[in-house]
Amino acid sequence: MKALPICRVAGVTLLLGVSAALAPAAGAQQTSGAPQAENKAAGVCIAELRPANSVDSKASGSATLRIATDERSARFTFQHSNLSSAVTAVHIDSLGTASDHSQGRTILFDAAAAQPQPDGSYTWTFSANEANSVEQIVAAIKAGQTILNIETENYPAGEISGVFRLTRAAENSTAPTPPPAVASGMLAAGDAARLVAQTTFGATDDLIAHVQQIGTDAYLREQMQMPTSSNLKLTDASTDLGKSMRIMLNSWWTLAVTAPDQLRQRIGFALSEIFVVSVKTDALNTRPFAIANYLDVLASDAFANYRKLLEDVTLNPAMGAYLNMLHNGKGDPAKGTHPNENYAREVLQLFSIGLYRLNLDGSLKVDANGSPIPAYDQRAVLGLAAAFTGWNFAHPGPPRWKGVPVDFRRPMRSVPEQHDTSAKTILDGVRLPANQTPEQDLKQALDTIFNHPNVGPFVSRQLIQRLVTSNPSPAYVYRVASVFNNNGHNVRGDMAAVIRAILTDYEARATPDRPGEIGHVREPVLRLTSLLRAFHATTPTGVFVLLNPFPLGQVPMHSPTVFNFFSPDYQAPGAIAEKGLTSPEFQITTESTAISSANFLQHAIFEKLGPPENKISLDFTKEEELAADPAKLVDHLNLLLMSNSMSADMRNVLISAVEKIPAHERTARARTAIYLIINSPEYAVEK
Amino acid sequence: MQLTNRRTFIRQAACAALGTAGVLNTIFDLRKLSAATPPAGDYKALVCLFLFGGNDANNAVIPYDANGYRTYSSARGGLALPHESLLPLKLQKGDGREFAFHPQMKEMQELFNRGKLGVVANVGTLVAPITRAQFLAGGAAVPHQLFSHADQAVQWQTSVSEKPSRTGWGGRAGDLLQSLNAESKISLTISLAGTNMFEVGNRVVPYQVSPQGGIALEGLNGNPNADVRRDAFKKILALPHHNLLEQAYADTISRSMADTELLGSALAGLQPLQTTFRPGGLGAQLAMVAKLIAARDSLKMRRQIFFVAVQGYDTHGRQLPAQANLLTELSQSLGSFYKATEELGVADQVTSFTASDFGRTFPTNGNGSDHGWGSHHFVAGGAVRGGRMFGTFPTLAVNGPDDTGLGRWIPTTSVDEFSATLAAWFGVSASDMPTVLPNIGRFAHPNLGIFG
Repeated sequence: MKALPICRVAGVTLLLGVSAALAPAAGAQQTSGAPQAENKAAGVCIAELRPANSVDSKASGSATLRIATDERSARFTFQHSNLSSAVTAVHIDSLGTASDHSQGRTILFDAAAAQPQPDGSYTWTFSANEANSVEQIVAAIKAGQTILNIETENYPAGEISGVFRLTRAAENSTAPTPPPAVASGMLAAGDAARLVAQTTFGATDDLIAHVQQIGTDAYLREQMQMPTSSNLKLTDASTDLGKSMRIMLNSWWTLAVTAPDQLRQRIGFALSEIFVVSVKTDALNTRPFAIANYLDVLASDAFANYRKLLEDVTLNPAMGAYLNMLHNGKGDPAKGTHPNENYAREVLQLFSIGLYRLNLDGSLKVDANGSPIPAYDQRAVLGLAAAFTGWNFAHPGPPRWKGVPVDFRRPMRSVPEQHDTSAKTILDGVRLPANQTPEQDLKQALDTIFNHPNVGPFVSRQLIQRLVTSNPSPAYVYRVASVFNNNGHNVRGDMAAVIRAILTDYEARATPDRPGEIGHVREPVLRLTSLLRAFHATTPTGVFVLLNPFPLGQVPMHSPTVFNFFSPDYQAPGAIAEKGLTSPEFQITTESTAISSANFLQHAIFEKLGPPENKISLDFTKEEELAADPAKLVDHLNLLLMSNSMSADMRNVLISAVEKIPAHERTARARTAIYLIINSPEYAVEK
Repeated sequence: MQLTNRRTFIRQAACAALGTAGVLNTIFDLRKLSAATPPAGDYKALVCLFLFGGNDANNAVIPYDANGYRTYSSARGGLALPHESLLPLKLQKGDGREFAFHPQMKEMQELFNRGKLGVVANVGTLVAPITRAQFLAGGAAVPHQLFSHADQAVQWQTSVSEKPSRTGWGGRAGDLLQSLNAESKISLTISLAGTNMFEVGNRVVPYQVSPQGGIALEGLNGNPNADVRRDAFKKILALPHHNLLEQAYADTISRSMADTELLGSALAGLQPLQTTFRPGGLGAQLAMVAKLIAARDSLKMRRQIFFVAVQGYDTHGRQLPAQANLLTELSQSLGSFYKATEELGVADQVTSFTASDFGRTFPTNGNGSDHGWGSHHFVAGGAVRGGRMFGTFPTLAVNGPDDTGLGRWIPTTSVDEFSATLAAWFGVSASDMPTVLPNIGRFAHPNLGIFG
C-alpha cells in the first residue's frame, strides 16, 4: 500500500482533560452487547500495550479492532491496568510506512470525539479526509501501520501504546487435513543437515553424516537421552573470578559450541527467550551463578513436562529476583501495600497463555460477535499475585522473612507467615479457598494455568518459531498443540512429545510449499555458534571467551526486558507486515546491527576472536582440501552452512568469486566462500 | 478527524517507541514539519566527551594559592602534583582563591584563559540534594549503585539516578528537536564510540560512525581478495529474493551501505581542514566530528549531538603517569577541536563538555585513587562564558563538609543541573525541560549560567 499522506491542515490542540468516559475503571468490558452483531468481520486486529522506552510505568493493556465486513467502520475496545494516573487521551494514529517513515503520525481516531457504547466499546466510522481515502485507512490498519496511544496526566506524551496487527480469528478451529507423509528411508544429506541446523547450535560434517545414517527418530531419541551439560558447573570451575557476568557467558558459549547434548541446550536457549530472565537488572547483574543455575533448570526440563518446567521456573530464585516473586510478602492494608503483581502478570501474558483466547491452531478465538475474548482480567492477576506471596531464598532452620542470606542455587522456600491467606479468584473464575499454605495456593494456581486451553497453541507456536519458521501454517500449530494437549497417552504438556512433533512435522521436514514465507532469520547468536561449530573451533583452554560480543546485537541472557530481544509477533514494516507475516528476529536487525554483527562474524572467520592468550581457532583442513575445485568447495559449504538451500544463482556467483582467487591461496579461497555465505540474505534466513 | 499541530506532533513522536527496544532504524527520515523552518544559519551541536573509568579531577583542577595548595598537597600524599608544575588559570571573576590545571592541560589552560572554557566544580549524580549529615545518617536517597562504574556511567548519560532508564538525556533532547533536521536522512545523534545510552531517545537512535566515516562491512577492501569479495557480495545482494524475509534482509544491508555512501559523499565534498588533530583515540574521533559538522549543510543538519569517548581513567594504580597521558590526549584533542570550529566559523554554535563515571578518592591508595563521586568537569565553546568556575569548589578535607567520609566528595551540583544548562542552550524550552531531565525540579539551579 501507499503511505498514508499526512494531513496538513493546521491542527487543534488535542483533547486534554478528556471526559471520565475514557477511563473505565478496570478497562472496557468485552461483551455481547453490540446490537445486530455481525458474526463476521473483514479483519480482527489486536494490540499489546506497553510503556514506551523512557516511561517508568507498570501499566499494560491491550486493545482490539474488529473491522466490519463492509470495511466502513470498526469496533474498538481497549483495556488497561496499573496506569499511573488518570487517562487524558486515547487515540489511534497512523504510522508512516516502512519504506518511507517521512509522513510521521496522524491521528485517525480520537476516542474523546466519539461516544462509547454502554459496554465501553467504540464504533469508529472511517471517514476520508483530503489526504486519506477510507480504503487507505483500512489498508493501513491491516498492514500494521496504526498504533493506539493512551496518554495520562503523568505521561502526557503517552504512557502505553501498541501497534495493531491483523490476526487470524475464528470462533473455532477445525482439524486440518493431514499433510502428506514425510518420505521415509535414508535421509538426503540436505535434509539431514536441515534437521541438524534446527536441533543444534550449528551443523558439523560428522553430525550430518550421523543423522543420515541413523535417521530422524533415532537421532532425536539419542539427543533427548543425553544428560544435561551444566552451565553452573562450568561457571563454578571458572578461574576468571574477577570478570563477574563474563564467567556465565564463557560457560554459555562453551556449551553452545561444544556440548554433546545439543538439542537440550538449544531448547534451553529457546526457553530462555520465552521464560525470560535477564542480567539487565540490578538484582542479577552481579550474579553469574544465579543465571547459570537458571540455564541449567531450563536445559534439565527441556524434555520434561511443561507443568514441571512452569513450577521450576516459578520457584527459581533468579526468576524470583527478576520478576519480584522473591520476597513478595502479603499486603498490609494499614500501609496500603499489596502483593507485587509482576510475576502474576508475566507468567500469564508471556510464559503460558497470552492476552487473548486462542484456538488450537493459534488463531484468535472470537465470540459470537466476532470480538476477541481476553484470556484473563485484572482480578485474575490480583488473585495470582496474592497466591504467589510468601517465598524467600532457601534457608535452613525455621522460616524467616528477613536476614536470610542470598541463595541463588536452590529453589525458593516458603515463609507461611508472609503468605496472603485470603480466598482468591484466579483464572477463569477458579477460586482458591482461604487459609491455604503457600504450597497449596502455588500448586492450584499453576495447575489452573497449566490446564488453560491457550497453553498448547501459545507455547507450541513460539517453539516452532524458535526452531523452524516464523510463520507456521495454522495446521502446523494445530498439530503440535494437539500433541501438547495429549501426547497420545493422555498426558498433557509432554515437552519431549511436543518437540518431536515440531521437528518431525511435514513443515519442518518436507519441501515447503510456501517458499516466499518459510524459514526464520537466524538469530545473531546462532549465526556465530554455527560458524564456530562448522569449522571445529577450539581454544587453548577449552573455554570460549568472547571479550565484547555486543556488536552482535544480541548477547545471551542480556535481553533488555522481560519481553525478550524480540516479540514473537513483531512484523518488520513493509512487505512482511503488509502480508500479515511475523519476523521476530528483525526487531534486532537494524542498519547498524546488520553491519556490526557481520563484522563480528568476519572476525571469527579470520580468527581474531578471544583474548590473546586464548584465541578461538578454526580448522579449515577440509575446505583447504576442496579449494582446488571451487564448485566442490561451494557445494560442501552449501551443505554445511545452508543445508543445500543455496540458489543456483548464488552458487554461480560464489564459484566464480573463488576462481578469481589464486589456487594456491587455499585458505583465502575457503574464507572468501565462507564470508560471502554468512553475509548473504539466503544464509541469513534459515529455511 | 482531529489533526495535529506541531506541538502535538512532537509529543506523538516522543512517544513513538512501540514498547520494545530496537524497533527503530538508526536512520530515519521524519520530515513532517515545514511550519517550523528555522532561520538560515541556525545550527547548534553538543559534543559529549566521555572519560570512561572515572577521571580523578582532583588532579585536573587544583588550588593554586598558598593556602589552597597546602591543603591539597598535604592530604593528597603521593598523588600531589608539584606546585611549580601546575598551569595557573586567569579567573575572570573570583573570590580570591586561585586555581590551576594539571601540567598536561596546556591547550585547555589556553582556552580557559581566552574565555572559551569553563569549569563546573564538584558535579555528580544525585537523586536530590543531600548534605553530609543526611548522607551519614543514611535513609536519604542516593544514586543507585553509587561508586559502581557501569551504573554511574549510565546515570551520567541518562541523568536519572534512582532507577534504570532506557533513554539518555541527549536522546530525549533529540526527540524534541529532530524536527529541525526534517530534511536529513541521518540521525540527530551520532556516536563515534559505539553504543551508548546518552544518545538513545524514544525516537532518536544514534547512528554509529567510526573515525573513518560510516561503518562499513569489513573484509571488502584493501587487497585483491577483498576486491573479489566486494564484487561478489554486491552481486549476491542484487540477486532476486523470492523469500520475503530474505528480501527484507537484503534491503536492510543495502540501506545501511547506502547510508554509509551518503555520509562518504558528504564528507568527500569537503575542503580539507587546516587544523590538525593528534592521531588515534580522542583526536581521531573529534576530527571526524569536526568533519561531520563541516558537512552539516549537505547532510541537512541544524542540530547535532555527538558522543566521543576514551577509556582508561580508572586509575587505581600507576595514576600519575597514566593520567598525565590521558589528560594530554584530552587537552590536545579538545584544543584542536575548538580551533577547528573556529576554522569552520561555528565556534559559537558548538559546545563540548566532559562527563565521566565519577570522581575519585582524595587520599591515595598508595599508587592511585579509588572510586569517588562528585568531580570537576569542563565545558568549552564560543558560547561558553569561559574563564569561570561554575558551582562550588569542595572543601578538600577528609571528613570535611563535602566528604562522605573517605574523601569522596558529595556533589554540590547535580548532573541534572549541568545537563539542563546544556540542553537549554541547545534549544530545549523550559516547558519541555522536564521531558528531557525529569528530575530537574528537585534542584535549585536549573541553569548554571554557563552561557551568556
